[in-house]
Amino acid sequence: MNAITCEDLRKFFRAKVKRSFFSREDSLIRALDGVSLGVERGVVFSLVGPNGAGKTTMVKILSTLLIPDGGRAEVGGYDVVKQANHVRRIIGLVLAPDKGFYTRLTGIENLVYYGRLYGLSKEEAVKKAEQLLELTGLGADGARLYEEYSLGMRAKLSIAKALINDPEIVFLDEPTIGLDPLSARRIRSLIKDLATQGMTVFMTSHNMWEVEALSNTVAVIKSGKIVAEGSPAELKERLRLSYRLEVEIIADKSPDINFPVTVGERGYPVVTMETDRPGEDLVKVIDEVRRLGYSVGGVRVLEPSLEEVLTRVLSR
Amino acid sequence: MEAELKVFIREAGVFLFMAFFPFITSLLSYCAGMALTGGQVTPAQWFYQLVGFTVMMVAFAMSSSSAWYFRRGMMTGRLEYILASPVSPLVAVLSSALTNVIFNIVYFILIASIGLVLVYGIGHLVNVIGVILFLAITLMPVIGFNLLVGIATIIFREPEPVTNVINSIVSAASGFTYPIILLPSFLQALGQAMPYSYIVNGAREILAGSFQLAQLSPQIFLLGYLALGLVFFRLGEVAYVRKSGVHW
Repeated sequence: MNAITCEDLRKFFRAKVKRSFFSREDSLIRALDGVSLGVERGVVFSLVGPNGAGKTTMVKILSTLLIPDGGRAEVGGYDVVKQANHVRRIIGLVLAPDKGFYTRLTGIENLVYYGRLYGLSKEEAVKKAEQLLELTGLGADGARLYEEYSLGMRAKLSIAKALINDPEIVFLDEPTIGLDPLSARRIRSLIKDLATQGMTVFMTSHNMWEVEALSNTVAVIKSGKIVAEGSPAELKERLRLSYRLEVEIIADKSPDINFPVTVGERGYPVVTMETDRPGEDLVKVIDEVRRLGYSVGGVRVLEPSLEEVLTRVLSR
Repeated sequence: MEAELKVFIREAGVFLFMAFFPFITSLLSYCAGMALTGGQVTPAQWFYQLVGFTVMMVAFAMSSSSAWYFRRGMMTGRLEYILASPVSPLVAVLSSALTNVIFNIVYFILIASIGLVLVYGIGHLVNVIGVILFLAITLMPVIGFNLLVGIATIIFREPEPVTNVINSIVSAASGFTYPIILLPSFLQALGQAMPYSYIVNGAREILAGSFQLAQLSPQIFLLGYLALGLVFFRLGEVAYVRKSGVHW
């Protein structure tokens, strides 16, 4: 059974568009327009897409905050509308990494507060909060007021909050937005650990490198519709994105070779080519370079990135 | 409730301001009275004003606490996390309102005790116990009142317009600093329909030692506010869900 299942999920918002000083017209925004997808248990699933594509709406519906206008969704086998309270017990949620806490309470007090909302006794909540503070690297800062926390610390506390009820499924809406590289790395490492422990992670992000590094499955959403879905490797393969090969030749001038040559950073000629078969072509280039009596200074094989996938999919 | 209480305790600046206000305003009106009457104002009349201004502060805080609870919740993202948890938002807001009741009782007792000792002597301090019980009962209807304002904030999104109107009516019609019978009849009726005139008069009489238990009957009738608040809160929730599609 999937951890998350959506069938033909729809959500519309009405917006008032000003026509003149006195008149306004209703405009219908299709935030989700027939989204169907399935997320297996214990995987990291990422939903990516441009701003306003429907990512946060999707997270809010799956976490029972918004009611869909059509279709249905199940989380952990429970219907998000009819069995919302069951869903709420088994999910963790991060909507904005720097929000959702009492500024005048300490990190541990905030976690205990949320623990109590999930029915933990005071002792259980304190114990769990201490464990989570250790897990997220905030062990030494648990007694500090939240208002004194840096953005990175707030993001870690948000993750800790999302785990206070030992959820089966965690929803993370842009969990590393605005974080410095070190804090973002710590959060990514945490997300990876969660998936290793068998938790299902549903995340959204604009950082394609991060999505590629963490996700088992990626879905691209555009104008409320899923336009591509698969593992990062599958998506690249499906779009036939090319690898980029670079072979540096130790030579004073450009050799007479049957491959395109540019000048590299060190001033040596570099064979640069796009290919679908990087292994075969690399051997061919190196053989040719050696046949001509030159030595190879260095080799780089650049994989197509998920960012290219997104750019290609969104520009279709 | 514990979290809310800790937040209250840590906001000592607000508490101090709230504590100073009744002393300053009652002293000002005492001095003005002395000047206007040529020294005919008694310390008991200053105490009358002190209790009035203190209950007025309590009324303002109590009427708007749910409104601000929701507004702050929306601004900080806390409300969404509460909605995504298995706890009903009504339980969360009632916990916050009860915390407010506790905080306001403590606040009232501190100020009233100082005034009581200054005017009637330390022997009257025993009356404070009666006030604690009285406020614990009479502030319950105010929670209903509070919920009505809270749900209006959820629907209109901004607490200020709602609470400003409510507080203006409450302060004009509740007889905090003058007897309610001095008001025009429609304002008297309005004042008697709201819980605060009973609270301020009852508190004064208990502190002065002249309160009769029979006077509690209107307060029991006012518990209807609590029921009304709960009903309207539920209706407001349903209206809000329909309007916004938010899964309340």
